[in-house]
Amino acid sequence: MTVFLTILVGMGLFVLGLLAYGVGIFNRLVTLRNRIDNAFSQIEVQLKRRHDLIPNLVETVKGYMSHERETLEAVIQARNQAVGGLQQAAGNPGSAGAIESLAAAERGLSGALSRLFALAEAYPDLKANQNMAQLTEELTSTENKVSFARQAYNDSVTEYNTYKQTFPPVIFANLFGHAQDRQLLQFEGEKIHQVPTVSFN
Amino acid sequence: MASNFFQQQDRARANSFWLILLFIVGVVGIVATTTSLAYAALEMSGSPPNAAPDLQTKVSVLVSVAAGTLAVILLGTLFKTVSLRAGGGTGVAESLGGRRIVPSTADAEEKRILNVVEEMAIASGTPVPPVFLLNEEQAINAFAAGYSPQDAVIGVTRGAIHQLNREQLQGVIAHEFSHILNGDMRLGIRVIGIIHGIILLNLLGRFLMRIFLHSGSARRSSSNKNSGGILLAVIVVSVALILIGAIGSMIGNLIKAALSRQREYLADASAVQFTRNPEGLSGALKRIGGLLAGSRMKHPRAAEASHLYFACGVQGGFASLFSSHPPLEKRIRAIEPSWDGRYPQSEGSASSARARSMQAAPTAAVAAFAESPVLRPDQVEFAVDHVGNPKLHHQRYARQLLDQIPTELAKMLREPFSVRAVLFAMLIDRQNEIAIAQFRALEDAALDKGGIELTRSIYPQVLELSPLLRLPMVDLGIASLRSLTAPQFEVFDRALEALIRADQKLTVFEWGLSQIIRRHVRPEFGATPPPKVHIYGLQRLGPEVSILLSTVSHVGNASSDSKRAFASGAQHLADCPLEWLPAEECSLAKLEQALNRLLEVSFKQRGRIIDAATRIVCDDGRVQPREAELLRGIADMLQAPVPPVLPGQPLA
Repeated sequence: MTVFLTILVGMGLFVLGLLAYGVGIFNRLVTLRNRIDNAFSQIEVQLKRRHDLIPNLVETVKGYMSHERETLEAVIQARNQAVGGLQQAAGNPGSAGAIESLAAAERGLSGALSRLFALAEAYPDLKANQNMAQLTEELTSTENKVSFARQAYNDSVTEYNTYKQTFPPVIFANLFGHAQDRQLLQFEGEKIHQVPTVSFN
Repeated sequence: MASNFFQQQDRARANSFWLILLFIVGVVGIVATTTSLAYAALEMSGSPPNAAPDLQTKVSVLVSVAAGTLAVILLGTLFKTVSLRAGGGTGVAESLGGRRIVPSTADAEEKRILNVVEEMAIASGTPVPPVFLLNEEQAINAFAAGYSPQDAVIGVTRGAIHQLNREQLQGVIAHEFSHILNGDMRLGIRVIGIIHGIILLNLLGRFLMRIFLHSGSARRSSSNKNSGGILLAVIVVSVALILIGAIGSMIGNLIKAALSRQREYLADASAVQFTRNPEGLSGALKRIGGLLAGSRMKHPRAAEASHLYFACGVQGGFASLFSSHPPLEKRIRAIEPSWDGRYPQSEGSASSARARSMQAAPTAAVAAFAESPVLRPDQVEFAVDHVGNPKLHHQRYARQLLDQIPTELAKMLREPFSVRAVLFAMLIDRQNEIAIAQFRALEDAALDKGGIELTRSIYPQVLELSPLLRLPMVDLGIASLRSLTAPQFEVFDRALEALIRADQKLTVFEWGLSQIIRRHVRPEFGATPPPKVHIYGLQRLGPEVSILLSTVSHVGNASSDSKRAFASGAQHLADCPLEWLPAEECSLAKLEQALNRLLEVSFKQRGRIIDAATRIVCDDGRVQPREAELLRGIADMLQAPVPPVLPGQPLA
């Protein structure tokens, strides 16, 4: 009978321990997820800054590059798409689709901007323009900050996803409403993943 | 002397010692009660002569009951304490749904609270803590979280930054800072841990009861007399556990609440002392009283941090006995005895008052500051007198210092990407060859291109700054460093180390900077447990204290003077066998070893050591920035926040 009692107390302790452990996992998951959202809000600040700079840039460039209407329109359009993408992603940072479309929009914007800057090389007057120099500097520094903030975001996403997939938490993650992995944010063209085409002609 | 802060810290520790003792007595009492109840139950159930349990069984039952009870309490305590400590302040703030306020924020209210916190931090000589915003909370409240001053964060509700004017915010933030400096958070976490352990007993009782009611009803059909006896015994034990758990946790909560209320009065008093402005704090308290939402928090986990709030965060049961904070009226009357008892009716925000206080930007000239980067000794002594106890003029001075930092650089310091570049730029050497080697070291450390470029573009400007600005700039940058992620911090740390090594010498500033970063940023990325204090006298610490004081005497003194300076400090530590060491035997590496040992010394003795070091620095009547930096580095390692040294400040 005492054996029975001891087993029972032991079981009680075990269940309590398990409960406490589960609470710990739950809290850690929540904390990690909040951290991702915090990191995202940092990117948001920098991206907004970037988006705000572009109309000024286009305004400055317009006078010099009237022949490059198409490029300028492409920049404006890419910028508007990126603004929309950011709004969507900010409203729903948990959705992989929203993050992916934000990344695509930002990639498009970067592409359009780099075409614009490449063309601007041909206009010495524009390069000498004080305003232009300032805007370029500001854009570059914002770009740096974006990539740094994005790195932080991706670090926290990785930490969350990894924690979720390790052994004890993986059992509970679904139960606690952490079913989906968060999506990494990649702005650069995915050159690494492209298989080089080799021709044997 | 510099004893106020240290006494506070010691007292907080002593308080927690008595408290822990009280709780241990309580726990022993609980275990004894449970065991004797189990014994009584056994005696009752053992009455049928044919089934009387033998002595051995009885003993083993009692032992397992006692051990089980103790194990539950310990397990619960341990778990709760560890989980509260684990995430540091950031963890607590994030679990309450806090969002870190980024300094680049466009929101004027967020900007203002950051400014207030920065001023208060520089004024008390601690790095600026990260500030978290609970955006959903309309009530007026704030909290400080974290286990030690090193990993502390400050949280504020949206209601607080919206409803309060600048002075009132200052009062609230000063209150939170005194919680940090008084070591209240450590105390709170311990108490909560033990209470949690006792509550677990109650849960265990319920659990046992449920199982037994189940198995009991299943077995009643077989009607076994003997199992009936055991059943009775277990029911008695589980009822006892439920009762003891409930009563124990209630008494525990009573003690916790009483203690917490005491600390609140203390924090209020120190806040008034910090700001020299009772109206600010009492104004904030009155606004809470006048507001419909008051200070009540909505977040589901708000109760867990109730001891950290500025004002009552959760409704405290049926009586004020359980309240973690004294009633508002009492707190206001304690600060402002002539109060008429009327709360202001809050309509919208305090915008008019805010506009007024924002205009009151500091206009005072800082001529003394620009003239001589050499400080007068009474200023340093003055600073040490106020360890952990900044005053109003420290705040003004902090504002002046902050204004001296070029806007562009100040902006960079508040931002995680560029703060690294500013700190690196401060370490770049004036000589070109060395600077080139240092930049190469940065590249080798795999720092990102953008960071290196930024460092390159700002370092000429940074070199021109007054050396007096170096420490405040570091303090300002710490908060942004703490928002790096762990991989980012690793790269930063490696680059910093490479940069410091690249010039082939370790300057005092380099040493101080790496100490501050180690103390205040590293804990964010992996807890290093604070060393245990177990030395209460200096008798056996002659070699360590000698190295410390000798090093201080060599920095900023020619060799002939240093011995005299050493003696002037040493005479204040008569109980410690001291010996002056020549410069060759002192190195910053040795100093570090010595300081690590001195961390095991009680706060009171640490205060005396810092006093002695200050006397040495002041001996020749001139205090150089280098000496001030060394002093700050030492104080920082000994975990004592020293307010900045004030040029041209009259002795108080």
